[in-house]
Amino acid sequence: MLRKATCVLLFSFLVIFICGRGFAAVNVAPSSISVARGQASTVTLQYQFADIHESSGPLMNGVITSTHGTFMGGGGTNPVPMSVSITNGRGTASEILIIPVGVIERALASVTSGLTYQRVFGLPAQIASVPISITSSDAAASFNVKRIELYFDNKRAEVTVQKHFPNLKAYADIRYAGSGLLEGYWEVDGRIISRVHQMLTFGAMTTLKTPDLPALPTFDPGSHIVRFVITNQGSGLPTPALIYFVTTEEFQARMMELSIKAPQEGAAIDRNAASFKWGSFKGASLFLIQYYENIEAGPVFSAYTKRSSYVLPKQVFTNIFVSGKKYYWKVTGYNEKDNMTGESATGSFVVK
Amino acid sequence: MRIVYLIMVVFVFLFAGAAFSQESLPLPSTTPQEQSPAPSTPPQAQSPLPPAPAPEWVRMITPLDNADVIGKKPEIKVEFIGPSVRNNLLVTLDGTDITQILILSDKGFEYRPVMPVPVGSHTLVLTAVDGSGAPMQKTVTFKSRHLETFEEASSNNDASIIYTQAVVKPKSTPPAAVTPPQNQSAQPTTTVADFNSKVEGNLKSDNKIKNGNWEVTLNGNIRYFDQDAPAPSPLTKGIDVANWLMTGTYQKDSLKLQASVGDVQVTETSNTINLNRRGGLLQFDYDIFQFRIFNVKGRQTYGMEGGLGIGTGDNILGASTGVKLFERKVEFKTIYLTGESSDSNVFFAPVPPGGTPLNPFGTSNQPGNKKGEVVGFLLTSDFFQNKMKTEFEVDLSRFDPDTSDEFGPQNDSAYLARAYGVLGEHYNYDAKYEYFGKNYATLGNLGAYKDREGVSLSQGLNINKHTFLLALSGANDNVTSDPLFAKIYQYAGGLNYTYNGIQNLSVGLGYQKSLQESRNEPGGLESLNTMTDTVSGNINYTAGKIMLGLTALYSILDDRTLNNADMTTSTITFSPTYFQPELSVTPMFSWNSSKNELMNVRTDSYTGGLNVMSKLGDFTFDLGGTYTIVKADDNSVDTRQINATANLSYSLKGDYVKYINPVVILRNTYIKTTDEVNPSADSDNYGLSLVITGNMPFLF
Repeated sequence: MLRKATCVLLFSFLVIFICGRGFAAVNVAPSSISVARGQASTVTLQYQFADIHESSGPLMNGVITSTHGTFMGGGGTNPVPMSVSITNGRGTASEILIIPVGVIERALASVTSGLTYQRVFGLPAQIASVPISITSSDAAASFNVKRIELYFDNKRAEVTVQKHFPNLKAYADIRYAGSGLLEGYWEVDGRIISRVHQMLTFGAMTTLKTPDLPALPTFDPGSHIVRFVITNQGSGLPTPALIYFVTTEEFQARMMELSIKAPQEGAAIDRNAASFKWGSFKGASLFLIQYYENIEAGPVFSAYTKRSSYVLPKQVFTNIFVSGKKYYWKVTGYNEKDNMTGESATGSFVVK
Repeated sequence: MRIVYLIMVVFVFLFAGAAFSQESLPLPSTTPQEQSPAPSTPPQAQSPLPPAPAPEWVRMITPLDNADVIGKKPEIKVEFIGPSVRNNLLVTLDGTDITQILILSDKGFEYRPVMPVPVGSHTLVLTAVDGSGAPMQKTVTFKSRHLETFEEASSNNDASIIYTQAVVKPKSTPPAAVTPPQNQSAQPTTTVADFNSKVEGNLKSDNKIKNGNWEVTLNGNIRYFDQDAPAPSPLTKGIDVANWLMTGTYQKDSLKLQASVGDVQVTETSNTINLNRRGGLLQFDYDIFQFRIFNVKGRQTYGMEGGLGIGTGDNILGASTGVKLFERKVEFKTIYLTGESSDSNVFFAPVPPGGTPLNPFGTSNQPGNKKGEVVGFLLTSDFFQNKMKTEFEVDLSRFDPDTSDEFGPQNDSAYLARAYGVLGEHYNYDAKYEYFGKNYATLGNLGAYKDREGVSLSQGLNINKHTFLLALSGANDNVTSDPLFAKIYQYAGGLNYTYNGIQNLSVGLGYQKSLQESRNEPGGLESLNTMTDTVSGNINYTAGKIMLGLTALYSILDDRTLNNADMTTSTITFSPTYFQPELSVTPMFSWNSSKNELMNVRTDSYTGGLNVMSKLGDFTFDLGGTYTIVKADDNSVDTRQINATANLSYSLKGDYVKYINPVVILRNTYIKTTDEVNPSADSDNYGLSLVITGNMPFLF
């Protein structure tokens, strides 16, 4: 009886010893993964090794390797080898795991919604495994970015703009699984321009755009590279980039508002007081004043002037404008190079 | 599937042909030309004065009456006969008073149009009064064209050349702000500062010729890049055509034929194809019929990679046919596309020894060559003048997300029913039902939904100074009710309100709520039950040259399962702006706090930014800088980065350089990164460069 009990005890110690050395020595984060069916997924796995011993007994100092990973239940392997430096029995490593759609479909074909990813490191064997559950769609999967498409207003990943172009915007269509907080930043030539923190839900698609302030810089001529870098979750996707080129040609001065001074909005005017006045600014040396019956149609009359006022000639007033009718007018300003630099709001008046 | 498509195409034409023969022969009275909005140019022949016969009082030197003139800005020269009338002269060209910008003398006047005059007929009307007060008028009509060979021809070009010489070179490129996984050596560097000298050039060219019914345009940018260091991905060294588009159009009456090659936009529907890619597009419009063929690259390409983009490799080929019926109030369209695409030019390729990781150009996606085809049918209507438009769409797809495995393509479908419109001046609405099968996918929009069914309704109401926007939606996945999986339901609602009742002040408030829960979970699977609330507000104030903007947002995700993985995030942004043409100053400040309740970790981010532009004579000073702090209260993250680029530019003047507009720039760049958690990522880099730029615009 005592012999039997001693044998059981020894066996138990042996099991605990082997398990302790074989399984408790490596941990993987995240400890489980959810992926959506019908599509490949990538996830970053972090391996932490502790208490790794040489086969002769002392704590290990050296390198252990894993030749491949295995999808158990999915009938596939990950052929990418891994090497981990172990110092005093401890070490860390990470890998970007691609779960091919074929692995997921094979698991589903065997009428199961789960599989396990396993890696075996070195000798004595350190086994790391991560259960993978398969969900019907992105909605229930682990929060994970699946696809990023960057583009400018022209819907392309490249654009050419003039120097000091005021409103250059970049967009990121981000397709994601699960729900969570997306954190990242917009970057131009290695400079962080702005940070993004956005709550995303239900595994769908969201579109981010660079902020109005600070805008993408366009004062520096030449090529620039824009990226949206995701910081808070290991999708493993390479970070895509956009290119914009700033030419040495200066963008026309930003449009300034030409303030309407007379006549007052909706005022009734007659042929003796058909005077129109507006405020000007440096950079507007020529004005085009246009009169409309219908603002969405072409003007009924227009005039160029270098002054900040215009008086409708009496013969024009008499022959074109009809008594009792409402008309609209606006002024556009041009600089010395005939580039448009300013514009007024649309005013209206009634002919007496 | 191709057979189905061909049958549908034949059906469309037969059906349309029948409808056309019954309703529309002869051509409908409302032609496209009549429907187009009136031109923005003034009526050309409108005269401010009634005809008044008068003796000759002016002599036209150029143009002569009924002359054909060659030129974009034809010169006008007039000589007075007899006494000068310069003090009471009124001259209009095509209905525009040009009197005040004539070059007047006692003998006559000269004028060259400010803007290029449109090709075609023009009317010049001169009026004055003689010494007795009697009105005098002279009307001259002439035609203009740009060249003898072409009615219209223009070539607008702009060449940029930039030479940069590093004076003080940064010690190294800035490190990435994220710690990379082990088997991806590092995030690619994106700086273009790691060089001693660099030359860049760009030729922007917009060209157009038009003759009769034909028109050809060619637009593009030819780019040159070289530096004494490797080019940062995805840039490449050498000369390249960064982008280009050539379009030829033939238009006569109701017929329009257009062929485009280059960077073309293919827009059909979001469930079929909606892309801007390198390739070719051929479009044929005749009265109520439309036919389109396209062949484009599946992924974004830079430069001349992929040539014309037309082929059968990584390409999407397709066609669409459409017909408009019932006075064009109904349109029926069929769309077919097929092809294969890798979607991205870089996946998880191993980095060569000593090499730099690559940035994918534009798109990053899961690896796997995708192949598929889609047939789509779209029926749209607008019987009630925008009050209620409708869309019905059925799409059938056959898609293989990875051609390398043993699983072949799978069939599935998507449906859309939509009604939207504007009622009166104040109310608009958009109601939609959408269904996406679990295997539905299209190469033309790889970001489209799959395995989802839902309804949504958005309504906007604008009453005086108050604007309301209400959005409601409900959706679920697992549309086939597969017992292997749970079914996830989502309900969302949001209300946004904007008040514009105070001059120069705009106030907006918003609230969104989203619920998610799983039902019918198979045994052993965790349930899902989350609620997300988001409150936001913004105030914008404008006072002359100063604009102030303040936005705030608070969002909480409440995980109501045992996991209790709650998250909160708050953001406040303040952005004052001072702007005038010679000086603009734009500082901004933003604070964000995110908390992961499960891990009990709070992360705060602070961003300060400053943009300055100042012009003083021939000097220009530009500054763009950002300071960011990210700190987690468990000390897992503690990084700061300050970065700035400041350019001091001087424009050289003088006759000897007036054609190249040279500018000398002193460019200062500074990036300092401090990482308390990973000090090896610290960097402190200052760079000073001398930049010489030239700009040569030339027009033909």
